[in-house]
Amino acid sequence: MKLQAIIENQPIDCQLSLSGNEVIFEVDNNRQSINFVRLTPFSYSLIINGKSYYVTITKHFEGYNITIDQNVFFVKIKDENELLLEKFGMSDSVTVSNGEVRAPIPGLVSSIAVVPGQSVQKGEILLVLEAMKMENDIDSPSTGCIKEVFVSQGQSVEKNCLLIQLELNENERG
Amino acid sequence: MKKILIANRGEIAVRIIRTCHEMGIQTVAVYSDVDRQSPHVLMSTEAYPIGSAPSTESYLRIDKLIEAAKVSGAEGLHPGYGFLSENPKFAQAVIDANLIWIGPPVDAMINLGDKIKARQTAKRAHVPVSPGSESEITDEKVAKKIASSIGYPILLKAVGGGGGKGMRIVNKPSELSSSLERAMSEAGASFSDSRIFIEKYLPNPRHIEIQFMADAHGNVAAFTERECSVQRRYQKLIEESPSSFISRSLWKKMAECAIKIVTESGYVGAGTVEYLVDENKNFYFLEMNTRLQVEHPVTEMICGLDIVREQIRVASGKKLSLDEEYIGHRGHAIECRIYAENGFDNFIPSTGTIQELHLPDGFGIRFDHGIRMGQEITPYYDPLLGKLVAWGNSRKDTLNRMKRALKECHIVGIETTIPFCIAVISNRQFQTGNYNTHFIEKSFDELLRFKQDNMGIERELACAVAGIHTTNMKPEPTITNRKTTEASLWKSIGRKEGLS
Repeated sequence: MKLQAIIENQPIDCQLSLSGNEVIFEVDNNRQSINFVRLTPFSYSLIINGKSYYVTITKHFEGYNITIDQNVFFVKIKDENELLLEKFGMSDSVTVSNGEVRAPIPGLVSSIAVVPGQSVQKGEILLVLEAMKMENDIDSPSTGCIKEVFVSQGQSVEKNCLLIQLELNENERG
Repeated sequence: MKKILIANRGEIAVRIIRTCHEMGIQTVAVYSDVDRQSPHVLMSTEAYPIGSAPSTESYLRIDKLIEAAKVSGAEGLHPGYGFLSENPKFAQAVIDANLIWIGPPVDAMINLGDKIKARQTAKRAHVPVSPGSESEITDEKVAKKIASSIGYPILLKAVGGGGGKGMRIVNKPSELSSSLERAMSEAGASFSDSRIFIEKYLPNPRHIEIQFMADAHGNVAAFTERECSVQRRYQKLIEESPSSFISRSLWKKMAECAIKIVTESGYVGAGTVEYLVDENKNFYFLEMNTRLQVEHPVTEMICGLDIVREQIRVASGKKLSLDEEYIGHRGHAIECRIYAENGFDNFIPSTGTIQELHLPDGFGIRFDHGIRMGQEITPYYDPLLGKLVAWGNSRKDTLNRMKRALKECHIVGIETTIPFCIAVISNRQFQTGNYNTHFIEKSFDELLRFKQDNMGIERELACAVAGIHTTNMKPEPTITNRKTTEASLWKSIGRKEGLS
C-alpha cells in the first residue's frame, strides 16, 4: 500500500507490502526487504540484509516518536485515504500559525509579563513557567497583540494547555 | 544503627537503601502521593506517606519526616542530596528528636552551607578565593557598586544553595536589575532563602572538586579530584575522575587546601570542596557541599570505597576505614547524568510514563537510578532519572565503554539526555580532555550536527517502522504464564494416539 511518512516535517512517499513478518519497503524505487518482530507494545526488532536493529515506538501527538540507535524521529503517517482527501483539498491537517501560545511542559505559572491589549515583539517574554524547580521563559512566537490571557499567576497547567491568545499582525499569519 | 530513615526519593534514596541493606541495616522510605509506586518505596523495609506531590508539602516537611522517623523507630536519618540535606534547621530537628544525623555537625553546615560564610572560612584557612561581595546583596544600588568595583561580567549566586538555582550571569549594568530580581525569586523558591551575593565571573574555567571524608577522631582523607566541567545552566551533566587537566602535584595542593578547610571548620562526615581552575591552573575556592554529592559514584569507582558506608560508620562514631590522607585512584571513571530532558531542545523537561525500560549492564558499568517500567515522571521534582557510570583502565577505554552503555540504555516514553550524552562522548574536543565549563554552549552546533548526521542514516528506517506499526496493528502481546508444556503434552499424546 502507498503511504506518506512525514518525518521531521519532511514528506517521504513510500510503498509497503506486508506478508507475515516480512515487509517490502520501497522509497524512490529503492526496495528493501525487512524482517520484523514486534517484541512488546513499544518495541520492534528489525533485520535488514543481516543488520539487526532494535527500535522503540511511542505515540506522540498525531504521530510517533521512533528511536533507532538512540536517534529520536518524529514520524506521522498518512495512508491512501488521507492522501486522497488532501488531494481534493479536504485536509484539515495543514497547520497555520494561529497565535496560540501553549505550555510546552506542565508546570506552574510563576509570573505573567503581559496584559490583554499589549503589543509584543517576537521573542518577548510572555510569562514564566516553573517546572522541575527551573523558571522557563515562555516567549512570544511572533509579533502581535495580546488578545487574551487564559491563565493566572500560581496556576498549575498541563502540557499543551492554552496560555495566551495572540492577535497576529497581518504579515505574521502563516 | 539498626534502622535508618532516608529523607529523600529517586535514585539517591535507592542508592542509600542499597548500602544500608548491605550493612544489615533496615530502611525506612518516605513518599509523597505521586511516589507511592516509586522504586525507593518498593525496595525499602518500611515506607510512610508524608504528604502531597509538591515537595513543600512532603519532602521538605521537617515535622512529617521526624514523625515518620518516630513512628518507624528509626535510629538514624540520611538526608541524601537536595531537599533538606543542607538545611541546618533540619539537622538540628533530627538531633533534637534523638536521632543520629548522617551528615556534618550543624555548626559546620551553617558556616559552610552559607556561601558567604564559606568564603570567609576558606580565606581564614589560606585557601584562594575569587573576588566577590563580602556580604549579601540587599538592594540594587549596593549590587551595582560591588559589580563595578570587581568588573563585569559578574555572577549572582544564591547564598543558601547551589545547583545553578538562583544563579545568573550579568554581562552589563543594564541587565543587573532584572537578573537580581529573578535570581532572588528562584533562590527563594528553591532554598527558602532569597539572599544573593556577587562573585567575579571567571572566563573559561574548569570545575574541579575534591571529595573528602572526615571522622570525629581527627582523621581526614581527600580523594582524587573529579572534573565536572560539562555543565548546562550551571548544572553538571558529565563528571569524570581523574581530570585530564590536573597534574598529581596540583591535585595534592587542591587536596591540601580541602583538608585545611575541613580542619578550620571542624567538619565531620562526607563533603566536597569545589574549585574553579583558570587557564593558568590557578584554582579558587568556589563553594563547599556539606552533603553527599550526586557524582560521588565516580570517586567510588576509582577508589573502590563505598562513601555512603563511610558516612554511616562516621555518624555512628567509628573511625574512617582509610589509613591514608590522600587517596589515589585506579583507572578512570565517567558519569553521565540521565535527565528527563531533551538536550537538543534547550534541556526542556520531559514528562510522561516510562513504557519500557532496558538498562545497560556488563563489566565496568554501574547505573544508579530510581525508575521502573510503568512509572510516571511528573514535573514535581528534579528531572534526574539516574546516573550511568563507566569504569575503565584508561580514559579512552572508559569513553568507549560509556558510549556502548548509553546505546544499550532504552528509557521509552519520555525524552532523556542519553542522545545528548552520546554526542558529547563522541565529540573530538571532549575526547582530547581539553574542555571547560563553556563546552556545551560553545560546541552545541557541533553536537547537533553529530546528531543530525547520524539521523540521516536511519531516516527511511524510521518511516518503515511507522508504516509497519500503523498498517499492522496486531493485538499487543501480553505477558502470560506459559502453560504450554501441559497443552503441548496433551497435543502430542493426541497425535500419537491418532497415529497408532
